[in-house]
Amino acid sequence: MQIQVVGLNHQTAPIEIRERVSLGPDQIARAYTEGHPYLAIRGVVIVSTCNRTEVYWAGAATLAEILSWWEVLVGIPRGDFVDHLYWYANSEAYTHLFRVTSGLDSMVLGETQILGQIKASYQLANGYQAVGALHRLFQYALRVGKRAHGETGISHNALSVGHAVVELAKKVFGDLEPLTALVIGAGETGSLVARHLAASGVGNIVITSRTADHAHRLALDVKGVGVEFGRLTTAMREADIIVSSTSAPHPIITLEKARAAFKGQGQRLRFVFDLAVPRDVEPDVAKVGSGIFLYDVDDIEQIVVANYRQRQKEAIKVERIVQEERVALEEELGATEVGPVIRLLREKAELIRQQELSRAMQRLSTLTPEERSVVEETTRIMMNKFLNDPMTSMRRWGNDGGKAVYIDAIRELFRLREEKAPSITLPASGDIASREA
Amino acid sequence: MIVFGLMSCTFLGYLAASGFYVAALYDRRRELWARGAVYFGWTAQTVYLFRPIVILGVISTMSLYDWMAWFVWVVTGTFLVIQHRRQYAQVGSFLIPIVFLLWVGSQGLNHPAGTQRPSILVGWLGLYIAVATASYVVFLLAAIFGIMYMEKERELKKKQIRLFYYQLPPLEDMDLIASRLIMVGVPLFAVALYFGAQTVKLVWGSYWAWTAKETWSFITWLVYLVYLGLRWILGWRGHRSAIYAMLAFIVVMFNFIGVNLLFPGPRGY
Repeated sequence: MQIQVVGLNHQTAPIEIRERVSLGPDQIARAYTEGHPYLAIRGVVIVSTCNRTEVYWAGAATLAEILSWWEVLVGIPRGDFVDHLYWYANSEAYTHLFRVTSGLDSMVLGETQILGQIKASYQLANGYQAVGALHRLFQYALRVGKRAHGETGISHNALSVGHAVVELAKKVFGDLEPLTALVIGAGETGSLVARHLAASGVGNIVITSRTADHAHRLALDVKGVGVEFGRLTTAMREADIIVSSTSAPHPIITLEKARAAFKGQGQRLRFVFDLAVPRDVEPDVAKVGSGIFLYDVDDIEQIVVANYRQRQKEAIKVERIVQEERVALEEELGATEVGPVIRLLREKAELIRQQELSRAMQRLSTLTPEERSVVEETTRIMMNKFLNDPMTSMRRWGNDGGKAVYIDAIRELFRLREEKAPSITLPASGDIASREA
Repeated sequence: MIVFGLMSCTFLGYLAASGFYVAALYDRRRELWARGAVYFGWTAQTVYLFRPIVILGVISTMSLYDWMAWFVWVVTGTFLVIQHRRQYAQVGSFLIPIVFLLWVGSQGLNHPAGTQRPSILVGWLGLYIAVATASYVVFLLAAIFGIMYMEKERELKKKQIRLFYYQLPPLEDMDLIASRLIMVGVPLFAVALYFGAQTVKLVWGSYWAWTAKETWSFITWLVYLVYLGLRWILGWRGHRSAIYAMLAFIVVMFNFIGVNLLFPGPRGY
């Protein structure tokens, strides 16, 4: 049985195309309930996020059939988006989905959101009983995602300035709860960082701005306190984390001001983030005390770059997990394909062995029990050794759609048809529409 | 033959553990191997150290080298207990290589073998050795946190983040752990000094005999007391505290290596 995927993502298609062919909740619901009358599908899952739209299906349906289904659902001729599509079958499809759930295929390397989105897509499809033969694939994929995030650092280390500020603060202070953060400037950057700090549990957030109104509004928003700009020095003295992002043309925190504010506290750990261009903090402020860390925008950018490299390193480990799980899934799917044939073949051989053995034993009534067991053991070993190679080969064929016909040949060859075994060829019916009915 | 085998196992275990713990800084999964290697080496050493006590009823603590082996054993044992706590997870990358060098340094050297009846460990001297060893372990751990603090701080200050930025605990946590360890070590060492004085009384008849060992032990204790004073009274934190903890351990090292080699006392160590 074939498992295939066709879709497009942020790498293959521009946003104009992605938004046109994406499947909204209504369309997905329609797709699952109505299905497609001509499609021979044994399972389908549609994944649609803002960065990707993908259709996974199992069964005999061809790519062309799926595309015609898709174009009807979104009402756009396939010619408009076919150039942006990727299409994978079997092991390549498994690898693709595993890379998606582990965040390797995401715009932000290693992000975790996609795992939740895939899970939701799978559950939605499951709600409509559409998953069918794709259950194991998606269960494996969700496990790969979990393993990637749990066993590697693929999702660790910040890739944005806002996150990097929080991360750096954590590297110095650990627990942020007892800390006080001072945010100078309530503009776009200031608000962004203030929200990040609040979200990561900084105990007290103090906002100050030349426009007192802005400061108070932001303070309200992040459950902080607004402070008059004139009381900057006092506020600096109390703060562990200082974030400055004003649009002032000259430095706000000068060396003298820092000296005055941090007097007698030179050893206290303190992180000053200067996110403004031109800079708000004079570089020499870092030398006021041994406990002061001063980072400007470039420094933080450097951290982000280093973090990205770190994630790339982790991505190698994730690729390893992906391949590991792909092999495991292929083995499992292969086993379910060839399992019945192997069982039948073994049963037939065992039946013949038992029959011939009992007949022989009647003629050899003078044998001692030890001799009998030797004879019996010999027949069993002969049978096992003879069957070993075909079994191994068949298990391998199970993973290979192209060799499915061999399995049929084995049935013919050994006349393994006396009992009704589940067909391993693709069923003519069994599409979604008939299942629903 | 058995003794040689046990020595080899200890050597290989600690050597492998050092390598794996350093590798764990790059790839956390190596930590599992490292832990296995430490358990292996430590078990071998345990058998090595306790074998003569069980079989012959004697304990080999006559020389400084023998005592170093016991020190290594206690440090590693302590580490195996505390490593499960998250803040201590990376200590192994610094501690185990040092432990390995201490062990090789003390055992690799040719030294006269000496044995003693275990009964000597029951008296004041035994108490002194036990408590002093415990406080040295605590001081060593504090120094390790000092090293870790300095390494991570250096990367953060230079803004060239590499290993330690990613792997080591937050600066403030390391600073706190080091100071708490010394807070435990100082009273512990005071108790050791008391037991030491009782021993001296037995030998010289007075509690204080101005021997080099006694004086240096007292200086060591003062050095750590000053550490606490600087933190509590002058508000020392972070950088300076970390350097102090590292330098203070050098005094400890001198106390148990230098003094013993330069001024041989009645105990031999």
